[in-house]
Amino acid sequence: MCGILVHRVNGEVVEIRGNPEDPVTQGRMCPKGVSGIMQLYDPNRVNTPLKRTNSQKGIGVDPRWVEISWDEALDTIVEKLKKIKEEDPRKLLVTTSVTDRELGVLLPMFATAFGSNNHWEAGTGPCGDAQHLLAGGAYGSQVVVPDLNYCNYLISFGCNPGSSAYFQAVSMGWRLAEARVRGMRHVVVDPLLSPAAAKADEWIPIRPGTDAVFALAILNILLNDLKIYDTEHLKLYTNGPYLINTKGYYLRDRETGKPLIWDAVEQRSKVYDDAIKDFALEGEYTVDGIVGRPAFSLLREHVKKFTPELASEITTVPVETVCRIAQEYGNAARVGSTIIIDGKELPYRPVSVIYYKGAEAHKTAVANCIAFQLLAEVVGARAVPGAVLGLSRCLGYPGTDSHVQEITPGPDGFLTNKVCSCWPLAEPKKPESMSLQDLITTAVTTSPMFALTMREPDKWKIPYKIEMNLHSGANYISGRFDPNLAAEVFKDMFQVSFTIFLDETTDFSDIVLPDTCFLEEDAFEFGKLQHRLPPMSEQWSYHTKQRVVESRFERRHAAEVLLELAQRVIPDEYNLCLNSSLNLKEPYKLKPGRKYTWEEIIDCRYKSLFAPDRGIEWFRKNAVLNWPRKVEEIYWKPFNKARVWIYYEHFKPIADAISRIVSEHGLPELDLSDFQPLPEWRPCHEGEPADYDLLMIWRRDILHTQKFTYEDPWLDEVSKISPYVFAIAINAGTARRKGIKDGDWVELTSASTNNSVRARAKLTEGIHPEAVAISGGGGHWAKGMPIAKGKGALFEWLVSMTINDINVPSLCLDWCVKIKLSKVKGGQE
Amino acid sequence: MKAKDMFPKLAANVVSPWRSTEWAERKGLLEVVAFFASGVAGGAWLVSLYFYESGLLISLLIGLIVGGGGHLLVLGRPLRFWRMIVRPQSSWVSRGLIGIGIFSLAGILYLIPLYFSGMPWTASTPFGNAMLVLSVVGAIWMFTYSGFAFSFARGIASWNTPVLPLLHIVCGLRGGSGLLLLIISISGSTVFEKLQIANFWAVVASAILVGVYLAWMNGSGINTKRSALIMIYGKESVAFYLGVVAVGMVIPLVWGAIGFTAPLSLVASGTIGAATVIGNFFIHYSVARSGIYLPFVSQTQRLRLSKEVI
Amino acid sequence: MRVGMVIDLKKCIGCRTCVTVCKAANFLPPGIEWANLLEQEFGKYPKVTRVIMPLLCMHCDDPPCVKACPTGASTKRLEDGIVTIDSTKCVGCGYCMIACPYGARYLHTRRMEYFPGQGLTPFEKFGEHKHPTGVVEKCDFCLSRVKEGLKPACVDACMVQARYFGDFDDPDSEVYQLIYKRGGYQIHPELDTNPSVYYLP
Repeated sequence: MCGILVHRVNGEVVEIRGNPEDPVTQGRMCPKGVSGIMQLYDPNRVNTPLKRTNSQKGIGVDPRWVEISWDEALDTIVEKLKKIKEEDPRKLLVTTSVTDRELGVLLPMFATAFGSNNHWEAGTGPCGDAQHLLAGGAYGSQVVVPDLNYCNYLISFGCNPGSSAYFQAVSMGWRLAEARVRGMRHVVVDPLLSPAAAKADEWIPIRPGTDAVFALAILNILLNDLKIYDTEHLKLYTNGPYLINTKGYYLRDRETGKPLIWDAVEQRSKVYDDAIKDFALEGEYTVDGIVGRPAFSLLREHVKKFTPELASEITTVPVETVCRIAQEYGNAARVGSTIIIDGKELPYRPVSVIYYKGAEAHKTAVANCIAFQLLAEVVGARAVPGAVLGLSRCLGYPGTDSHVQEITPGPDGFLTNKVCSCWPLAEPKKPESMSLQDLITTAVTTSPMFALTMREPDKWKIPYKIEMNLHSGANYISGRFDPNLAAEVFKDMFQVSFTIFLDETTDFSDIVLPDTCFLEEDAFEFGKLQHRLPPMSEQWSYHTKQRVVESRFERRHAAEVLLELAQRVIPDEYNLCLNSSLNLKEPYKLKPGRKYTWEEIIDCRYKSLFAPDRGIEWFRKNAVLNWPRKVEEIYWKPFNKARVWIYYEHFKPIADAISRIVSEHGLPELDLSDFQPLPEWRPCHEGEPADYDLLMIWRRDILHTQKFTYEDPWLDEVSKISPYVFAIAINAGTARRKGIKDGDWVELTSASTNNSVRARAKLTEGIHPEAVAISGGGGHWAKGMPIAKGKGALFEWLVSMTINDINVPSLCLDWCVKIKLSKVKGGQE
Repeated sequence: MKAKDMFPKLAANVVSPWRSTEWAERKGLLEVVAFFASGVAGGAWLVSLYFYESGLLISLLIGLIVGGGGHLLVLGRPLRFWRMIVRPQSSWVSRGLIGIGIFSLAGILYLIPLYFSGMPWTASTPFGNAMLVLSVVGAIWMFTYSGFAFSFARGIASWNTPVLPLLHIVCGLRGGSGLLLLIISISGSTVFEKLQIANFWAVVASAILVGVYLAWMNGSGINTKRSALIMIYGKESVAFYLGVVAVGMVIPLVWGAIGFTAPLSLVASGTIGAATVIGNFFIHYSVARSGIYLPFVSQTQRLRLSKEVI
Repeated sequence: MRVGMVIDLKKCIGCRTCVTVCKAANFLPPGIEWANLLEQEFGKYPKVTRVIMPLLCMHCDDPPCVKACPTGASTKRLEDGIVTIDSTKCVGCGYCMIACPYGARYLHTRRMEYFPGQGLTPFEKFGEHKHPTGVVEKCDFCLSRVKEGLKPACVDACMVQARYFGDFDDPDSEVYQLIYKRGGYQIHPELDTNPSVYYLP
């Protein structure tokens, strides 16, 4: 996704460097980008189509591959697809990963055109499920980042900003570095001295899984003790003044059905968008005999129970620290101040709070995350200079309507954004898709429910079974939860994989198709702009991916292969689907039934998006298309009168509907307690045996964002520079108590799966005494990746996946894993 | 995966000192052997000239093969060794190799008429005398240069002292006398009392110098003190106590002292010789292994860091 | 002219881009890191920090390695102060490695493959001739790039833009100003080697 330039000599790649014209990276690179050369030349890549000859499938079972021709492979697949299409197209599943950007978009389109909505984005274990849900609601963008140009005080919970993780890795890296030099204070709340924490001004080690209590205590101090909150913002841009009845629902106007507020000047209720003199945020009012209180006063009341003392007891953070951070944060927010940028006077809130997987991967993910979200919201630190920004407003490429994203007030006055927003939420329906996202409509990103629904579709009243899986990129066997469960679910279907390596997941495939790597293929930018562009960058940017070297052996670009499959199975539907999904416009719309090459489609896309002279040829020559950005696109809040939630009333009707459907159809019982309008914290696990006394945490190393990076020999070598990458980090004091020395082999056993993993111990002072950390992505066992094999340990062996491990509203998997730590006697080599 | 692969060359050495593998581990040990051998050979040549000419040939062979050969073997490109000889102004290693060359060449030319008759020159002709003088210069050079080679390394504080060249000189002499004692006892000829006495006092001198060296390390700042600790407390202390002290000093001194009162048997005198030579190696080894580089974060920076953290 | 580098430790996050891009740009064989990075913890829980120290050849003004080199293979270029090794002259004695207080030098002992037992990749074959075995090698500030007026690969690639490259002799240069304003320091100034790599606190 970062702009690169590739130097080629005699048809071979000899250098990859950053493209200085890319405003996102400014020509900078990360180790993973540089190491792409080794991925290209890896002799372990798949070179020809392969067919499985061993009908047994299982972890560690040799598929006994034999090479076949492309014709044989495609004929087999087409035959299978046609059969399924005739029987029930819903029997087709597509599994994708964010790392394979083309197929991540094209495969779901294929499924939709085919007639199936079973799309599993399976390669995104560490994705921010609840975070995306809430950010989509408040920012109209799933991705939010702090405004590092102006922010003076940043608190991050369970994420790793500025250290090649989090979003827009390279850009965040240099922007945060500059902010550090500028004097921005960065406070990192994390059980581990993560790369971000090591560079931060303050590291607050916290007991795993309790971040929300810390946030709620700060919220309590801000709202009830210090009384620091942005009244103006709460009144105009949130549902703080909306009246809530005793059952927790809005008081609505009888005629219009709109939520009511109380006008403090006229002393009477009005609908929220009426002419209002002053919104009441406090008090208790009776409208038509029903008692209602403003949502804000409920919130203030609600957080009172989270005293600093209670927080300290739960989180192990000293009371003084909690109070000091609250005070510092409140002061830094400068509520009421303004700043002039480009001649426009804007609210100035130089504080940000960001959070991600580490803080949310709990049973109560959504209720937890509301706490983090509200920290920024109550001081008005949203989409204004210095505050948290989401890339949600774009006025489009000049002269066209491409990339236009506008924020508008939707139903009940709340923020909607057509391109990237989950609001208003869809009405829950009886499940049709294996993801259950049609029942649980609040789950906006990726669902792990496939593991349960596919195993027992009858139980979930889904009237078909998955028979075929088109798979690309995602290493789901080892990438989401207990591999044994994934193996059990996926062993009985016909699986076709587009892949460059034979990994743990392709060991379950029936046919493997050799894909090209990113240096061997053409593509347009598939990701949403929000994933790549930092909201505060001065320019919009769109770039292309072009082939640098011809693909060798019999490797073929998966997009082209998929196109051929579509043309043989669903020629009309696929072209129509591409037309709408790729925003193709006349005269560049694809004609149903006609065959197009991949390059023609790219050309049509570019010309539709930009201009007739901005086709593939232009992009091949220029690579990047930049256009300037306006202040009102970056700091859009003052320009769009849309409200966001501080009281998540909308969860209540959704929960009611789900509960009704569950009982009507006899679906398995779901824990709907997290559909609550106000933030909450509940402990993760209880009742494990006493020797399971440590909590496992998943850490992300700078070098390994994905699983396949372990196969790269350069990254492998530089990983060894750090003692933490392939080892298990244990608090030195804890280890001493358990008689474990630095470099010992240790075994971790999970209380929830009973599986164990082994790795060397790395004793460190930089981790909470009750936590143990594994780097994500390791523990490979596939023979097809010899460099990766045996390095590190796989966290997912320890993560169980049952209906009780799921946070229902976001379908976020609980990663609070209680483990037992023991020394391996005699070691292991 | 082995532990050493997990933590390569420089890992985790920011605030703690680190050791270069060059003269201390694996192939680098050959370098220590070469220093040791050339020193012993040089010493033995001198002592042999004075006491017992039959020791000359073995001294020469040890100096040439183990000393010179060892130095060449550690080279990445042994065939280019001539490049080191043509630039004496450049470095102590170069000068050392030249010394070995002069010693070997002059030594061979001096020895040839002793073993083969009918040569155009004999040991007593002017040419023979010239060779003798040259070989003596080369021999002295061989146990002198190594000390300078060590003391020149600026980054390794514990080597950065004039004590080391002195120690190497004394070591050369004691090693030489030890080697000669060994040769004599093996060849079964008579015991040389004077040689035993010389060896005894050379060992005494080396013991004093090792003591001085330790004291100097202890008193010359944190980094040399660390080296001293490595030498006498850490894992390396086994080599020091067993190799340097027990074998290299206690045995030769005790037997040597006995030798003052009563004539020693050939075996006893051979034991003294062998122990002295072995001790010599371990003196070199201990010095090499305890040499550490300064940590990358200096003491002042550490103080600043600790203020920031606490 | 005396070229040199300034590394801003406030910015550096230890991402190892410099290490990797150096490998790529100079076709370094396995196990050799001209640009290296050290990280170490410091302190006691919960008051802990991690020290991150990127390292490379310091291109000292008074380089001990050049003085130690018995063959004249290591030299300091007069025109820009870059310390280079002539691999046709080096005998691989390793004395320079002993002399260097910064651990910047590597002896390339034998040809190794990035994919052991699977042969050299086309990329490695392309750069094979740049790394003869049996000789010592080290960072040369990407001499071939500097000659073209470019900056070293690690400076261009550094993800957090923590590396600056320029002329130390020019008081108006960015590097000079940074050292002056932010109190840049060298590693081991007490050794009087006067390195051309400065660190900003």
